[in-house]
Amino acid sequence: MIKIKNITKIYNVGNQEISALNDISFEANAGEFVVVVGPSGSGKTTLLNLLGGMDVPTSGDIFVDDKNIAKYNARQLTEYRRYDASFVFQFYNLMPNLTALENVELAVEICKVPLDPKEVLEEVGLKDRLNSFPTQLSGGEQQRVSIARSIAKNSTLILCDEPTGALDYETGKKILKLLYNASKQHNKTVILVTHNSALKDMADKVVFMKNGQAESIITNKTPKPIEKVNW
Amino acid sequence: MNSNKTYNKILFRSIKKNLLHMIIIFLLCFISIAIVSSIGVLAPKLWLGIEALEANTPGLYLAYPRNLASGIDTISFIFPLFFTSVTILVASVSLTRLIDIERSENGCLVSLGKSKFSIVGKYILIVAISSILGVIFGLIIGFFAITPLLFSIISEEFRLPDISAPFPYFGLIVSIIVVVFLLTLTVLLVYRSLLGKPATLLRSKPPIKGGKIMLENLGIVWRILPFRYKSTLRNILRYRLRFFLTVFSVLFSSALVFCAVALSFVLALSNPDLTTFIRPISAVLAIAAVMLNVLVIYNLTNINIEERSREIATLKVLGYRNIEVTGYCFREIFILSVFGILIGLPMGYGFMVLIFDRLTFGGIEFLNWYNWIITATIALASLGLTLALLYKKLHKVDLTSSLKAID
Repeated sequence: MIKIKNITKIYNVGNQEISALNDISFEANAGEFVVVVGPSGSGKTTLLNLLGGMDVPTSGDIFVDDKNIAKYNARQLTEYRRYDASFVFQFYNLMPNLTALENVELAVEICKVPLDPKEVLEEVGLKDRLNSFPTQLSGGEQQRVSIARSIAKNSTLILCDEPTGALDYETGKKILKLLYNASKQHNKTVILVTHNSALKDMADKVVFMKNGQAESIITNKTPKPIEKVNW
Repeated sequence: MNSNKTYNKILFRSIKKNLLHMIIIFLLCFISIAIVSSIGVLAPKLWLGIEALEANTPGLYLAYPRNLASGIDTISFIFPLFFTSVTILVASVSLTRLIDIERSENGCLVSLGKSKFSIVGKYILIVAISSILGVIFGLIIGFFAITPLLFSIISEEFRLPDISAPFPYFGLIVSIIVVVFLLTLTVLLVYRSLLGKPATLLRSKPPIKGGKIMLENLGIVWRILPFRYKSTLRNILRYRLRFFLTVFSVLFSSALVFCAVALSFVLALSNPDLTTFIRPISAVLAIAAVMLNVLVIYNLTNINIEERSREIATLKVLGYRNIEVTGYCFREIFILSVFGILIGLPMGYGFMVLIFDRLTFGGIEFLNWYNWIITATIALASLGLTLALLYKKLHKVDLTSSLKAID
């Protein structure tokens, strides 16, 4: 259960104050696939960074399973990132000198109750690519390793920042399907940030962001399967 | 006119960004040229004094000073050679890093129509400022401070007249060689980095092709190794040029420390009378060697961290603790340094055998285990100091920006 309450984030750049998030609130349950949509500069990535424990809000609270990470110090945030959150980036961020399997094992080595790396990699369809290095994998395959890494960590939260941004249409759709299945099969909260508003149809919950605020939050009783979503 | 103004702004910001590397190149040149020019002039100055005093005092034969002067003659080629080699090796690594930092900006400028020549010009300016200032300061400090100091200590006992030292031609020649070498390398590196279409430059450098290393064939051993070691070993063996540069730099600078320390101890033990004169020289050499050693290890580690900032940020996002991330960064340099030290110390020993053979005082038999322990301690202390200096930088890595765009 994720509860974001009145989050404000202000950056001090030189003498300027840049307001990235302005009193935003929403909730998400376990097993929910949440899509956060908004144009560039709406604060979506900032929100994700706060949820991922990479930064702290200027004011407000973030409850992840009743723990308020908004008040955490650096060490506590590291522990949070270690056990409770995982990230899928637009540009994969795999370790270039480790194989696909080793990349997942690296992430899982420090977790308390991880899933089996080999099984998760099979789940994302990379059974035959376990011993390939990132440079030997296509963009879609690399992203799948990244997703496997996140799933295997078995964290409460999986955060995705434009995961299909660097991929073609068909591959992107496959990736989104994987992420959706992960939330359902493993009962994880997946929060996906994108500027592609067509993706709202596949989500259980949609947060429309503009200028650092949640313009509207919609719950989708009947999300469309990704195969039927086109853009 | 306007384009010049913008270009100057770019240049100025470039210098700010690259300041640390410029300072390191400056210090490398400074230390080695200070040694080259001071030691290089010391023996001639002594000889002049000796000959003058003997000429004025019939029947006088200054045995001790002559021994000393010829001893200094012996070391005044080897030590400067070592110092200069280390400087060139490590400065080269710094240059490759320097030119890599703004790879994508340079690609951008080229795609906007700026000539490759002007970009070369920028780097020539940066490298020239650092290296030329370094050698000039080195020459000045060496010639005007170190040599007079050493001479006054040595000549006091024998009351040698202070005849002004000949111009440090040796120091000057070595300075010119170092500066010309570094500038030539700069030009080559910039042109090589600008090869190919601007589009490739704007993307980040493709990582070296992944592949197994030889070690992986040792099935059992490889399987037990934790990932951190697998990653480190693959890094070490894959980037071969960097491997050799690192090992050789540490090798030579530890050999230097060994020799400098040996000089002080052995001569103090074997010839207590000469201690007063040998001590200052070997102290200067030892201090310079240690400074160089610290600089070498600091520089190589710093470059390592800068190049790996993305991997470091990834580890942090995955929830790796500070100490685990620190280990990841320092493991590589630690392994390479230990390797370099293990070869460098015996090599230093070998050189001391040769040197003592030609010196009329002292002898290799006076070398005892102190030397080895002290040198190893100094080398490890350099690693420790580097760790302390770089720890803050390592953990100040801004997660959000390091992982965002592709470089």
